[in-house]
Amino acid sequence: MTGRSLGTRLVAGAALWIALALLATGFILEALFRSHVESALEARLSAELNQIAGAVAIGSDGRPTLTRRLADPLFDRPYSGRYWQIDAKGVAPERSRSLWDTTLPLPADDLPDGALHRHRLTGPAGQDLLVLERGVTPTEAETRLRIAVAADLAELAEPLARFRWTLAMSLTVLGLGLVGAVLLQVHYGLQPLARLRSALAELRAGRRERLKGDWPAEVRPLVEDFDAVLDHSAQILERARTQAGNLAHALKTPISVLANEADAQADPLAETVRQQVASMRRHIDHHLARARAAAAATRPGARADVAGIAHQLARTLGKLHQARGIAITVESDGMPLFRGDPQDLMEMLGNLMENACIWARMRVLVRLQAAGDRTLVVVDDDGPGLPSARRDEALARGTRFDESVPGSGLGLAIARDLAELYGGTIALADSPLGGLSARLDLPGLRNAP
Amino acid sequence: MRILVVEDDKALGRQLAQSLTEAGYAVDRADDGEQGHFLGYTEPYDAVVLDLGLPRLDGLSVLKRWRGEGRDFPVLILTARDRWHEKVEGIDAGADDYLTKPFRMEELLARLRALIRRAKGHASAELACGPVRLDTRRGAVSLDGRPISLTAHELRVLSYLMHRQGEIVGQTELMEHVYGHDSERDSNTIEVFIGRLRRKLGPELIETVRGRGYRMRAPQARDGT
Repeated sequence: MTGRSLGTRLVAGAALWIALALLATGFILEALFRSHVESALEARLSAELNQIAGAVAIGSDGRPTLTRRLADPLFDRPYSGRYWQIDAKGVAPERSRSLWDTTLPLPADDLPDGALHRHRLTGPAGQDLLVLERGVTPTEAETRLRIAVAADLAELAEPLARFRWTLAMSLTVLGLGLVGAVLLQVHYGLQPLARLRSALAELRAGRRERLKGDWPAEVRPLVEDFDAVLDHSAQILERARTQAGNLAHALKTPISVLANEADAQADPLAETVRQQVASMRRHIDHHLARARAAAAATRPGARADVAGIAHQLARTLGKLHQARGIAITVESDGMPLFRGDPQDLMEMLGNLMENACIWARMRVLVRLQAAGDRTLVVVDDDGPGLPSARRDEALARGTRFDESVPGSGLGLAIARDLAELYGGTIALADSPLGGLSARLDLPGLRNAP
Repeated sequence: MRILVVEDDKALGRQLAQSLTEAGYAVDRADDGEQGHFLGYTEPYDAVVLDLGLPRLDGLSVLKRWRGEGRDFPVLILTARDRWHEKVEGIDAGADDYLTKPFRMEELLARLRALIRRAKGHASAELACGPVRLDTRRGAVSLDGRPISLTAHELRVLSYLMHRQGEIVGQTELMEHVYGHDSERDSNTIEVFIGRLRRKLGPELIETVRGRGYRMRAPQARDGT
């Protein structure tokens, strides 16, 4: 047994057991039938023996003769397989015509009168004979007679063969039926496992957060343990996020103090501090974003409503860029969902939309679309755009084009890192509005229940 | 203009107070949420710089309480929390701007200027009243194009009056927006500053409304009434 499939193991085990049981049944039934037909034959022989005993007479020459012919014509047909013979001491045995010129080689035997003996002898033409013999002493004679009747066992072969064939066919049909029933039973019995598998697939696909539900008692402990592992990892994730946030807070305030001190001075030391602080800031931003994202991307069952988040961001960015009066429009086609953490989606969208707001002159357009199991977000602005030669650079880690424009540059790289962790992509192109168009392709959810 | 800085980091709080003072603001500091909320509730500020991770009462709760109590001064959140969901939460709680640490002081100052200007209903960074012009970005004042040199307190008085052009500003209100919480206040000094401003800018720009306070108006606007 391979051990690869529980179903195969169960079916193979049951099939072996069924085959053994049916074989044993077959042998027993065949033996019973054989003994039945043999005893029927014996009963007939015994009746014929009685007939002969009743019809035997001792002739004047001392030889036994039959006073009546026996009814069965087979006794007259040579080597027919049905024979009788009467042995008397001192004279040649009297026998049926069917024996022709042979005699039954009865073994030397001293029988009490009336006792019935059974022999297996080889008869004429090599026949396998069942012989019934009885010793009789007729009242008018002093010699004891040995009367024997024989039948060819080959007579039994044909009904036996017929019986065997029928038996084999019936048992085969029964066996197949049983194996079929076992298959059904195994399929039905293992169905919860198949359901468990599809539940796990749903979990991976984000259509489900936990396995818990209506499970049989044997599967329930497994499901509960699995859910406990999921809970545990969610807790670890939450703790990791909190720690990342604490680390950020702890580092950023001193960095601010350092940077402000350096900005107030004009000597070479201050310049070095400024540069190093800028580099520290980039590293912190980049690695924190990655740490948060790496933890988030592995969490199963998370999902987010893309349109809701885009509207929240549009409201917030509208306020942050209030002074410049930029109009942010969100257009949504269908009900796009993101398979992942809502906060990470907000991070990606927020960075793209803020970048658009920074460069836009008047308009930012956010288009959302559910396309099969993908979700597309396209952010357009009417700003100066970005030459195609510099687009890769814009998405590369740690690049910051213009230190004088607040917040520019790094956001696109963070968004790209996050998108890639989720198996998504970001592409930059020319926008129909005249500026840059950022296209974010993310894993979505096909069927929103 | 008077600003409240709520920041629990001592070094950063000091830097902020210093830079804001140098930029011509009167500054009060609070280093925990409770104290910050109390100051914002009791004193009339023109803008607040608010950290989020504060001891005793976190910044978002402080902000929500202020808004719930009808305090509508502009609030700029200055925090290390740079996630977008945190920004959305901050703006939804009633903040007017959101700046993440590490930040550049010039950026903070620029955003505060813009917030104050917007709150007082001015679109431009440069305020004008007749021949007097105030560039809020540099804190520079000119009269008919000639630069005028003012002391820090004179500039604060002028800046507040110019932001509230055409309205009557009481002496107490003016004092509250010119001095920090801990400063020695003396209403006579306001009169002294007004007097000096009239000498430097001409007597007719700032008028005294008897029993109520001061009003700054361009001469041509006054002709219309």
